[in-house]
Amino acid sequence: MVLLIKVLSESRHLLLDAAVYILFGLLVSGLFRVFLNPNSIARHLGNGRFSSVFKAALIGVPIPL
Amino acid sequence: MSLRRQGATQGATTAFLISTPESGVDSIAVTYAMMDPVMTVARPASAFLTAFVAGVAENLFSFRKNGPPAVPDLTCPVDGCCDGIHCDPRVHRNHHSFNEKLWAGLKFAVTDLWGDMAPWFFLGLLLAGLITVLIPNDLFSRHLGSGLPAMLLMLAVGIPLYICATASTPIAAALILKGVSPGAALVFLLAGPATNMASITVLAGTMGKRATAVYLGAIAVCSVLLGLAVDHVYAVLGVSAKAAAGQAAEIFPGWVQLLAAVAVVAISTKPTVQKLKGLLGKKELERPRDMNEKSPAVKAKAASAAVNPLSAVESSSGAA
Repeated sequence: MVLLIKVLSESRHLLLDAAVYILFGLLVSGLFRVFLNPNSIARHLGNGRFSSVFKAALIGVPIPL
Repeated sequence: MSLRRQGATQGATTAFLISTPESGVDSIAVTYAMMDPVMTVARPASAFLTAFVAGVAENLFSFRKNGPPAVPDLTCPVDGCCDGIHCDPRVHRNHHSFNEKLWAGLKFAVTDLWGDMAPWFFLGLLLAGLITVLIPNDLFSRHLGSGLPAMLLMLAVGIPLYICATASTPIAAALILKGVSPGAALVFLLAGPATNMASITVLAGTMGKRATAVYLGAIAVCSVLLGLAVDHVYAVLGVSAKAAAGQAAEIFPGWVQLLAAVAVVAISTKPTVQKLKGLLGKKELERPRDMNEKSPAVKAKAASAAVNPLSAVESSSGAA
């Protein structure tokens, strides 16, 4: 029981640390979704052997799952 | 933002399939909160490099352009009022006000994005708490704390594990506090979200066995090399990851943290309860708490992923 309380208190501490940042991350992700134009992204991707990979990798970095 | 697969080179598909789950705005923000600035930069940079190397390797080993050029999903993200095919984007541009878009974006973030992630994130928090309390402080620093063996161990744990970038962050932070080197933690953060047993199966089905082998090999090699590099960076900068973990959040006063935590719990309750209900409902069937066992909904998503991997990345991410 004491152990469980210890575990939960650690989890609570981590949650307090992260909560503000979670909300911020979600806000930005949501704005991405609405304000970025997928058409221009796809057009930029192209079919190059290296450039398309470079761009696809770069686009994927900020996009959350 | 469903980029569809048609037409993209296999390498570009691979790169997108790796960098999307390995990093995102949300996981970068959470990394800053739970870890330190070096890791906050190292994580997205490593995700990009891993994705690029894997994609190029894919294109070098098997270069083929499949079919027509990429067709993005242009369906209106606000309310689906327009499918993006039979309507002129210039007309649609005036359909929604700024406020409407803002609201739709927030709604998407809270219900769809966080709805998928929340149960896993809380599982991650619990695991982190368990690690902090149960694992002796000197276990990792005495055995397997750093170097190649530690990275290989993290790889072995991370590749089959079913976890998203945000949910893996508290676990990695707890490991670092227990003396695991930041490089080894980075290996876990890269390999954990990028791969799991289910996604490997789907990939093998859609892109072929060879492409899947290249994909896994590139992730494994890049993660370990980047892990070693990050350990080197920490050594050169002379900073200790252990000391820095969890410092970032100190800039906010307690009441702001509390308020934010209450908000996070509030938006997490519904999806988490639903997830638990789903797991309990499956109890009669068998193995309810097996994390790799997926709900029928996820399986359906995996099936659609087989048809359309790029657009399915986001949906199968419920997999988080």
